[in-house]
Amino acid sequence: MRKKVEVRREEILAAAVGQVRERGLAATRVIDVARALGVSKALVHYHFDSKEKLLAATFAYAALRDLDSLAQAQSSGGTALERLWAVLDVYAPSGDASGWVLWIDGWAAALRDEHLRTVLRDLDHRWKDSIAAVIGDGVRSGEFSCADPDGATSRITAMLDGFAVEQVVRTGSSAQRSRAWVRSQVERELGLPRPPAAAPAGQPGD
Amino acid sequence: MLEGAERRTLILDAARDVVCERGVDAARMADIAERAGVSLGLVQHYFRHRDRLLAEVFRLESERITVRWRNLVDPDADPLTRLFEYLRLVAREGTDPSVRSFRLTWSLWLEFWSKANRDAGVREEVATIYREFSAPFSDAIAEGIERGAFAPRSAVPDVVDRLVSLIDGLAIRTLLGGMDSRRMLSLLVDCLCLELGVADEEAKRLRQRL
Repeated sequence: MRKKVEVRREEILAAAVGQVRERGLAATRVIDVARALGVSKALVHYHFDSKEKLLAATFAYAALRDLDSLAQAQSSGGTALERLWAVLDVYAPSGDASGWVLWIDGWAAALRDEHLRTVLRDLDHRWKDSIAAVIGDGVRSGEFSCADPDGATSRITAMLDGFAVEQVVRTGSSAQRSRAWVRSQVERELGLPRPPAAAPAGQPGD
Repeated sequence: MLEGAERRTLILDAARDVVCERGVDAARMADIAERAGVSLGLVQHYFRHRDRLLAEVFRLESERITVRWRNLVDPDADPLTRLFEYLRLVAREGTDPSVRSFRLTWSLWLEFWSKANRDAGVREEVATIYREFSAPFSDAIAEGIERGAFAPRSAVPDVVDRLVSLIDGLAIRTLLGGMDSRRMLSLLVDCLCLELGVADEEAKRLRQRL
């Protein structure tokens, strides 16, 4: 039975995300994606006429899924701080951080690929705007004390990317440790009081 | 005729340039030999196989950074000034001609990360390089604490790891075109002052140098 074009496209993109994570961006071939789905190479080519177009669409697709989770976190309600944690939990590396493998490949590839660079830059702006909006809410309501919300947003998001690099490609430090660091960074940036000794054992020394 | 060591360096530099231009996966031994103007046989003679050549490229570049930092930053300067100078070198705000461009240096690291994504051996190598890269920061911060100039809320290794993570994250943005290196340096200096509890007038003096 023939599948609808959009359904097929989405299946191909989901399979491509899996292949890129496993093999790396440069090593993923159209045939790998086709095999993972059990379809012909020609079918993949029918939907995406070059490997470059398939890969750029793959990143846009993965990004959209993340942005859906972001929208949910943003509308989750509660105080500005609660919403900020919800947004940062979507952004921050968690679990096995396998999602970040894709982005780390993407950053390198984007240096040579204008289209991918635009996709990644736009995505970064979307995240930054969302986090800035929540921080702005908290500053206006007096929940946060922050003289430079724009700088704080840039630092928080950039540091999260750096944690991902640390977790995935450097020493493989734990998601729990990264999360504790994000928290202490946010507390510093937003002038939040330090929570009383609620820290579980094994948290970093701060 | 070039000496053996010079020829090795020539090949390593050619390999670095090819990796930056085409990406680590697309950099073949034959491309590297062609760029260096030597035979493929000679490249194989010195490095045997591709992975070994690439590992040496990364090692050599990180050694060069360490040497540059030693040469360009006055070891007798006060700890805060030293930290500022390291950050300036990282953000490539200096005008020293021996400092390679921001884009070239950082694009090599991004390629290295991408390779480490799927290779535990490369991850070990990255971890070693980061330890070396972190040491001058740790030393300066520890000295500042001893002198009573810094009052961090966290242990020194945590402060350094956060600072290094911020450097990486900001470099990615700068490379993708979302930020310039002046802004990168300014955000790093703010983070430094915040993390170390630097007194306001000291922080102000530092920002004036931006």
